[in-house]
Amino acid sequence: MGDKPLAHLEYPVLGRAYFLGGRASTSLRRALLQAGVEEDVLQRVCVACYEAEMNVVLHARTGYMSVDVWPDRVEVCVTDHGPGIEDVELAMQPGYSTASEEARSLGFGAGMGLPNIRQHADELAIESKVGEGVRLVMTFWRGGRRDGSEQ
Amino acid sequence: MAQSNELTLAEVAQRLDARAVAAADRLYVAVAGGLVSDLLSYVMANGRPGQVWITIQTHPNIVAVATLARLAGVLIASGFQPNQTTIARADEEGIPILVSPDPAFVLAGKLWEMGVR
Amino acid sequence: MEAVGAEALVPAGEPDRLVTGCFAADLMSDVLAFAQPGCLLITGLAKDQAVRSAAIKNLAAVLVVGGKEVDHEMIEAAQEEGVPLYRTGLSKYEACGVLMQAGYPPCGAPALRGQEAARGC
Repeated sequence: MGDKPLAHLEYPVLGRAYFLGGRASTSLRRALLQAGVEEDVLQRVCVACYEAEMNVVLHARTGYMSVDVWPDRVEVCVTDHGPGIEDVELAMQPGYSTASEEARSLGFGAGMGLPNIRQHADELAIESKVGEGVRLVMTFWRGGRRDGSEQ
Repeated sequence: MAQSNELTLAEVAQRLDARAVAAADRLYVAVAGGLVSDLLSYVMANGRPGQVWITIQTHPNIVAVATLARLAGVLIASGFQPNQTTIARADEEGIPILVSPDPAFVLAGKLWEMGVR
Repeated sequence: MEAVGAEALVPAGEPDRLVTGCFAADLMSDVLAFAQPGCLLITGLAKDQAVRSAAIKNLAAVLVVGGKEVDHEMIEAAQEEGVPLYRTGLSKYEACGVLMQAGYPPCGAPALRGQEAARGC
């Protein structure tokens, strides 16, 4: 068990490619299943990744999702090139959304995305540069969930 | 005024154990059917006068949609809470908003069983 | 699915999955956050995103309501993800009513109550 992950997965995500939206995350689901990740963990990972993927599809030009499976955790990094998030605090508020009518017609953009990500990841860091893009880093612990105190 | 064979929004609220958070003085209207949707554009196109609209949307725009479609009221499911702007707008327009912890499936199922069709 | 007169656009494989409950939603974030594995998704969203959400949450099947036109992409996604896909001419409201009357339980209702506090907006 050195410093190499058990599995490393990468998925490109195309902005505006609505018909592909969600495809990376469902492929990821199959790959994680194969890598032996527990059902409850992979479900949290994939829910957060689907929301993150749709954020890229709906708001950015291009993005990249990279996933490392470790014995004790799954680490995900989603980066995109796009407009960035102006006010991260505000964007984290349930119900806040800048999504288009098109996003809403896909069943997203109701301001539940980032709150959903926060709820499903054990650790979450968001870096954003307006006009450049967003970088999301998420950690999901395997076996033993978070302590349950987050709310 | 409600006809004797039709339920009013007040009766519906009571039987569903839903709480009125806006326009509570407008609950004595007859309910003529139900609608479940979280897509505002769908409700704009398909809403019929007198229907009660079950949704998890809490955005102030739900009031405008309900007004335009002349719905009896909005029933917000799954414990979602409308914010102050939404409530103020609903009070202004006289669109009752009810809230319930039950999910949309349960609310629709119970209304259907009550004979709201 | 006979209760709602649904047609199978992508039939269930063998063995057929047991539907443990019903969840009605158009917002995929709602499905992702609160639907429970094994439940039937009743939705007005005739897009492949509904199928992909169902795959991620390991749901039993997707039922498109309102007789909406289901495009090729959605059918392909259902085949690809192995998610049975049905369509009914009933509205979402009618479908919920008929299914509940037919004895289908709600999905994850107890869990929803517990998470109520986290759901305000």
